[in-house]
Parts: sequence; C-alpha cells; structure tokens
Amino acid sequence: MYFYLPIALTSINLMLIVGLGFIVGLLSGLFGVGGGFLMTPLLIMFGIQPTIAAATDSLQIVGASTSGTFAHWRLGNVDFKMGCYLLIGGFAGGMAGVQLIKILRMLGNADFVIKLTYVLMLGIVGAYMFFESLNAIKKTKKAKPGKQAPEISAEPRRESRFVSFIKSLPLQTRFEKSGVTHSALLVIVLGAFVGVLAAIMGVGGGFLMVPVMVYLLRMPMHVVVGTSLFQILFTCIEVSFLQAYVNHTVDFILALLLLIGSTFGAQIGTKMGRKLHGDQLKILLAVIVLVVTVKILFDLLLEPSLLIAYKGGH
Amino acid sequence: MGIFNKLYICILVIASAVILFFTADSFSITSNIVPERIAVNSLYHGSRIVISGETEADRDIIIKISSPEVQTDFHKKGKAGGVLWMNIGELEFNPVPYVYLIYTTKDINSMLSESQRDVYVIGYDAFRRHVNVSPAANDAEKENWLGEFIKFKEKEKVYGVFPGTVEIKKSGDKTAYNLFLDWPYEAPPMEYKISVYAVKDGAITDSTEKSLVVEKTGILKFLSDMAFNHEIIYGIISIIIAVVAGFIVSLLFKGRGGGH
Repeated sequence: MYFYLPIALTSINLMLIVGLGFIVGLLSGLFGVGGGFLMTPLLIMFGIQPTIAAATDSLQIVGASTSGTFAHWRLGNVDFKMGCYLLIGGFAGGMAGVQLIKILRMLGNADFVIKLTYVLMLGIVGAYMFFESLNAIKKTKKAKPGKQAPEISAEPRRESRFVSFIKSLPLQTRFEKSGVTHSALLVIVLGAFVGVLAAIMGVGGGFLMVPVMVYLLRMPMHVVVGTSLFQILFTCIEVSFLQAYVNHTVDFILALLLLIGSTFGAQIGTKMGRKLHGDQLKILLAVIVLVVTVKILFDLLLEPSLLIAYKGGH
Repeated sequence: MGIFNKLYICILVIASAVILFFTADSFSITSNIVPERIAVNSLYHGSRIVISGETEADRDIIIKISSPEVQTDFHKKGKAGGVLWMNIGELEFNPVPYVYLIYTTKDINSMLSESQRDVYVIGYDAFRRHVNVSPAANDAEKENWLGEFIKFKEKEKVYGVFPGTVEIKKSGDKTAYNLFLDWPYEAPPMEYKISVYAVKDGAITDSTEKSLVVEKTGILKFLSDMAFNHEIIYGIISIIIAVVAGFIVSLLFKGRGGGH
C-alpha cells in the first residue's frame, strides 16, 4: 500500500515507513538518542528531499521522545532538573552555533572542516564508549560473577584533576534523581557545548549528549536515557516549529506514518532497556555509532553515483 | 438597437468563418488525452494515460510532454581537499523543465533534421544545445554537467526519450497513433504541455498542443494549502498531534504493562 505525501510530493510504501519508524523509535527508547543520524539519510535514500527529510524527522522525534520520556518517567528515569539546566545551555549553544557556522562559511572551505569534525567526533565518541564499556563489563564479571550487578557499579570513580576542578566550581547543586552534585554552571556549559556542535553539524546531538552525561556528569545510564529524551523532546519541538514556519518543509503525512512506528518502538525500546545493564546499553550504542561512522566515511571516500543534488540539501 | 444587433451577428459570422478557415487548414493532426486531469489524492501512485489521434498518411509521430521552463539550482559534488567527496559549489541550469518526456515512433535523429530538433527542442542533443550551465569554464565541462543533470532527472523518472513507443496504424489516407503511458508519480502536481508533432521527410508538417493537469485533491490539497498559507497553525497542530500520539501510545502501554 502506497501513500502520496503532500509536501515531499512523492509516493511511499506504508509498511516501509512504519517499519523504519519502529526501528528508530526502538533506538530512542533504548539509548535516548533522537535517531536523526539514521533516519534522515534513510529517508533521502527513499527519494525524500534532504530538507524535507530532516524537518519531518524532527517532528517524528517529538512524538517518539514524548512516548519515550513518559515511559522513562514512569520508571523514575528522568532527571527533570538536570534536563532543564542542559536545555538552557543547549538553547544558547544552538544559537551561538548557528552564528558560528555563518562565520565559518564566510571563511571558505567550512563544509570540509565540518564534515571531517563530524566523522572524527562520531569515531572518537564511539570508540571511547566501546572500549570503556567493554572494560567495565570485564571488571564487573571479575568482581561479581552473580546476576545482580548494581546499576552504577561500572561507573569509574577515579578522582582526576578534572573531577577536583569541577568540584571547585561555584553554584554546586544536588541532582537527586541522578545522585550527583555538580556546579549548575558546568551543566549549562556542557549543554551549550553540545548545542554548538549539534548546530554546526546539523544533527540533534543525542549521540553527543549521552556520552557527556555518562562520562562528564557521571549520571547512571538509565537516567541518562530518560533525561536525554526529555531534552530532545523540547529541542525538536522548537526545530519542528521553525522548519514548518520558515521553510515549509514538514510533511505531516510522512511524520504521521513514521510516528505510528516510532511511538510504539520507543515503548518497546524502553522495556528492552530495562532488561539490559548500563554497560551493555553503552556498548550497543557505541557499535551503532561506529557503524554509522564507517558508513559516512565510505560515502565521503567513494565517488557518488550522482554528482549533483538539488540545492537546499545537506 | 436593431442595427447593433445586426452588426453583432455580422461580426460573429465573420469571426466564425475566420476561425473555421484557419483551423480547417491546420486540422491535419488531432490529439486526444485520456484523462486530461489527474487527481492526486493520498493513495496516488502514478496514473495510466492514453494519448491518441490521427494525422495524414505516411507520417511519423513525436509526442513531447514538458512542464514550464525555469532556472534550476543544484549543488555540485567533487573532491574537497583531494580526499572527501562533498558539495563543492553550485550549478545553475537554465532554462530547464521539471519534466521532459519524449515518445516517438522511431529514432529521433533518423526522422528529424538537426535544425528542426533545435527549433522544437526535441531529443537530448537539442536539449543540450538549448540549456545554459553556469558556471562552466568550457564546452567540455558544460557537456559533463548536462550529462549529470540528465542522469539525475532520468533517475527521478521525470526525463526520458523513448523511441519506438508510439504505435501507428494506417487506415486509408490517415495515420492513427496511440501511446500508452505510465505517468510517473515523481512528476509533481502542475499543468503540463503535451505537444504532438507529425513528421515527414525530416521536417515537422503539423502539430497540436493540449494540456494535462495534475492536481492535488481532498485532504492532500487541504494539508499542503495549510502548510504554505497558514504555516503557524500547521506547525502548532503538527506538534500537538505528535505529542498527543506519543502520549496515547504511552498510555496504551501503561495499560498493558499494568501487571508489572
């Protein structure tokens, strides 16, 4: 069964889109990422124009992350306080990033630098998460061969210079849900850092926010997933509205079809995540990020079959 | 009053005679398009069109379907920094139609002279000569990018040259032609021009032109009108529906997961 899309102006297979939504929703519920890095290129592959694919995907993420945030909230996995501080930083960072990209473009050859930074960032984050969680899993197994390993036992607890520095920052605040105390300043700055990078790379930033929460804010993985989804929900509401208002690139029917799959996917992903250990979740996310990195690297290194693309795409 | 009435009738009669005279003279090719309007609804997946008609004996037929010609901008891809394939600049093709489909009874180059092909922009050779590409340092570069443009459009299924697809049948001193065509859903809703040319001895002897209207209907039209004319409401409603959908599914699962 095919559906014709009012804005994308193309016909698309219903099962294909609902299925795609389901898979990406599953990833959202499991890892707390929006899944734009996966969904947008796949939609482009199915013949949707890049600008419409990106904008419609952000509306789809609104639905999936609402579904995921509720599911995680019921499990007590959303740190609203942390989420709000990160949002304030992320919002400011996003605005700064948009200005920065204008300056970079004026300097010329910016796209090359951005693409390269994107691939390096994905690769480094993916590889670091992979090896760190692999080590943690090994340690947990040695220390406690039993089934009931405590949730945050794998979190490293070294008192590094970085840790003593952030402990000396002003405005120390207790985040009950995450069980951590940090300077509000640090949280806002980290949120802004992800916001700047996300704006420059044109992605939602979930795959960057999750490692920042895990490694720099030392939050337990399950709270990271819920809080990340909460944050993504608000970011994507803002992006969807701006895309619909300024660019007319949100395809409602396409988003609705994706939503059917992704809202259910997010619920099932949350349930699956409950059965997995924090480090198992991290290692799975690391593998997905690394696969995506390799795919992007191949796309950049191999000659494309078409040497032109409609203007307005990425 | 009576004089005016008589004058009016007189003008009508003369006008009709003039119209009849001219149409009778150029009425040596007919065309009939079924359907002339294609309704695009939510379940639209392309359509079947039949173009048929009659012309004088011993004629070949060319059918050209095209949309209005406009300037179209593209990104061009190339190697940046000598290693990575990415967008390295912009390209402007002008004038080009969004849709350009040619159906004929046989190979275009063998039935129509180059000058005639150029006048009517029939076939890819003529198309290449008709279009400007900017920036292009030389002819070779222009040719190269035009090749990429045609490849891109053919992949979208909105460009194509199909020799031998128009069927002809002789009946007395007439030639009847027929084209069964699968109209691609990739061609967006707009008004298209269908030109039919009768060809003899390398030249076009007669032509006729009809339009094909592809238009959005029903909820599809409603949604796209809202997206472009009431963008704030469209944006807000879209977001509310997405949030509500997420919430409802979440509640459904809460009900199911109640036993946990």
